[in-house]
Amino acid sequence: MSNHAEKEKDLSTWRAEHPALWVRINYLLIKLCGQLSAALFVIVAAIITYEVVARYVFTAPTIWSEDISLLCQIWATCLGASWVLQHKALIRIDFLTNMLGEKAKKMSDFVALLCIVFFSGFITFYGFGLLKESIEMGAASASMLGLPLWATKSAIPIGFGLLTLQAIMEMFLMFASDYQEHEEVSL
Amino acid sequence: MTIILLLVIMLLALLIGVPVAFALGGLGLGMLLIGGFSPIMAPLALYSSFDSFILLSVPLFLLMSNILLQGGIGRDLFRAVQSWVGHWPGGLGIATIASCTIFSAISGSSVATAATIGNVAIKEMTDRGYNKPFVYGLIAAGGTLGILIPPSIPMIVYGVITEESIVDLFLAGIVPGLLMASAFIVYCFFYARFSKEYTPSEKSSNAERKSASLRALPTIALAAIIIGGIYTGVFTPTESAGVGVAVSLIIVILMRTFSVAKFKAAAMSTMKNTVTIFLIIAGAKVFGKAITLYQIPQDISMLVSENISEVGLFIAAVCFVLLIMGFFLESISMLLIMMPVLYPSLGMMGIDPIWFAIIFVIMIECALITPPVGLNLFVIQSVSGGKSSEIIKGVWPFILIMLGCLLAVYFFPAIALYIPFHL
Repeated sequence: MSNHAEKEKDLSTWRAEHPALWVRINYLLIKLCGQLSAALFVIVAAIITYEVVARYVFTAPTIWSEDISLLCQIWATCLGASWVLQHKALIRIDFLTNMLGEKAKKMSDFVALLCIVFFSGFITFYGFGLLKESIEMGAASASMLGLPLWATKSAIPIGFGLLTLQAIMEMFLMFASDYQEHEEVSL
Repeated sequence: MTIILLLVIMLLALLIGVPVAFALGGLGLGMLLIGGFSPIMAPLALYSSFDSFILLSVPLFLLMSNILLQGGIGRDLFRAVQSWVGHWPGGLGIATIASCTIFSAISGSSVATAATIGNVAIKEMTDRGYNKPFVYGLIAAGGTLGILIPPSIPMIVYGVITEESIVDLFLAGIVPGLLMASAFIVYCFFYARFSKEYTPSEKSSNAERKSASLRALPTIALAAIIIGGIYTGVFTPTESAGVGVAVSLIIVILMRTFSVAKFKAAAMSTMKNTVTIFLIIAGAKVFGKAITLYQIPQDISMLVSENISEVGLFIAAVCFVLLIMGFFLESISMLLIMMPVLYPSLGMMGIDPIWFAIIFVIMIECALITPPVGLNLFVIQSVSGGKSSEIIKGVWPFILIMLGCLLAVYFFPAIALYIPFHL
């Protein structure tokens, strides 16, 4: 695994020490998003474990664990999306593009980023509509806790908005520098 | 006509390297826009896919196996099994498969299983002169048991798409998983009988066995808690994953093999894998919505029922397509592209969705070790530094064994269905 970890480190240092300020700021921001996302998943583990203990040991199941853990999951996924893009860790078929020259590789990456901008841009736009609707209606989750839905629904436009911006930035970055290899993704 | 056009666009997008999540999502969104359907369905589909209590188990199972991987649990497990069976012919191979099997009952991911056991077993086996391709193939294949023996992330995703019971799916995987593990073990035994290259391990003393087993005991207990908890209904699969994270943390802390840095690494890698999987699920959900509005799954199931009357022929055709897809795609993507399209056909052909899930998962296992794109092959390569040609040479006997197990499950559905429905 060491080889793999080193490659990932190279990719990060390249951004962390990039001469352009915006690349460094972007790197730090997205790193924060990624860490926040990871922390949220850990919190989910803690909540679910607590729920089991509460039910069997204290015989007092909580009314908040399901709502709050789903809230964490939605935010974690939306925040993590731009981190995954920046780390080039999205799952893709690369055996064909690997055979291409640098210029063709850049072209294929460009098309891929365009697709991401198209999809996440639309999702952001309509996601805002969805959010506005749930705020106006004062919608709440269908559970005992009745968590207001805007708390979870806002994650979609914010997360995918960040993803759209990140994809546009990656396009600029791609033409302003040498080709950066993609990561081998393992699941 | 639409179907062929869509297929071509999808293939083209995937081949030029558009990430699977966005190829699916973008195509789905495009179809909604062109067809004049409300595009607000796209963010709704995204929202409803992340808003799933069942999917919560995915990050939790991943976190648990990452904690155990970082905590070096593979070493203790392998040592313990080795102390019992190491002196048999092909003993280290058998120990490898047995360790993979036990770890599979904790981990829902084949890559985590291959990495955890591979980290230890590859060196031990090659040091003793085992043929390298054999070692690589063995661990790549042994790792795939991770998704057949419950818990299993592909089965969770299958359950989410088809709305089948996750517990039934998990229970159906137990016997086929053990059958496949036994087939691998028998192969190791005969392979070792006819190969004289390796030096067998010495028989361990009783004291050694005792101390090694004691160290592995917590891991085995963890497996028992997870499977037992789900089977008896004490926890839901999601809860068993949460409890598993807590217990595995306690284990690695008590074993003094863990640190804050390792915990951070485990959490980050969990985040990365979860987000990539969830994005594909979200893209597939948008795509699924769009093709349903275009009536494509219905058209395909009509086409299937008009032309294919035999269940066997249908399964063979699906397996053939999956085998081809498996050369290029990884597991979750295959599942998410194929299942929304195939699911209506299952009902029409009278095929049990749980039985079909097991067949699908075995095909995914093959996909994980078929070149050029097989995640387990990449893992073995990064763990061992071996050449891909050696790894590829080593895996094909195991692919044949897997296909043999597939035939067994096909001809004797009870192998999969006995535990969930008759016990």
